Amino acid sequence: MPVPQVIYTVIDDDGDRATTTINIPTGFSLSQIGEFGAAMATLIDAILDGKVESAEVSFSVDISGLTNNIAGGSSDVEEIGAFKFTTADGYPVNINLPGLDEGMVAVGTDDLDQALPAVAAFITAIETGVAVTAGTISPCDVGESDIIATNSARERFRASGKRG
Amino acid sequence: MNELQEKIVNAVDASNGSITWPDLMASLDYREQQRALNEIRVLEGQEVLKRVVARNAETGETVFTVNKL
Repeated sequence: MPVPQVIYTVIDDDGDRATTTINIPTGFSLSQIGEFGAAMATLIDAILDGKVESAEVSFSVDISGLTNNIAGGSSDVEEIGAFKFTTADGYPVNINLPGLDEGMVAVGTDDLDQALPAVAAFITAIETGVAVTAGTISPCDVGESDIIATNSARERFRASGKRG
Repeated sequence: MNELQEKIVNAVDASNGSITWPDLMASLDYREQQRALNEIRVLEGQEVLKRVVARNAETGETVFTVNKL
């Protein structure tokens, strides 16, 4: 099982940023990892002249069970599925999926066909959550407001690189 | 409840209260399919139906169903 990572971002006087990563063993709770991350930030800060700007925890997820996970001959990460959602507090949330299958687009439009099982299931999972063992995990915004509605789902083209 | 909402609820009832999305779509024509998600959202607000996406921890399979409440 891949181990969690605590990733620290350091910024210098020029405004340039760099990251450093510390791996930690599995088996600890999120709050325990938070304690570790805060303590380690203090220790790193004492060594550096730069400023420790942020710390993030990253977990790798085992996706070896995917059965259709190959890059199609026409796949292109610049072709994205652009979803615009709204939270319970009325804030917008954008999710852009790179490498969109053009078969998801409704004929004669730029809209994704929300009747298709794959599109409908993704939208439902974002709006209502995914049932997991002993609970349901429903996506939210950065303020932890639940995503409850879909404004649009469209095909878009963007330069390759980081996705929002 | 409008005609399409009734049709959706009847399809769920006919599947013993839980129908997969592909099976539900198969019971509707193209125009109804395009409206189905919005009508189900209305029915969720009325606490008649609920969409459920669940992952089977043993098989790893993810199943999308529409269930009667």
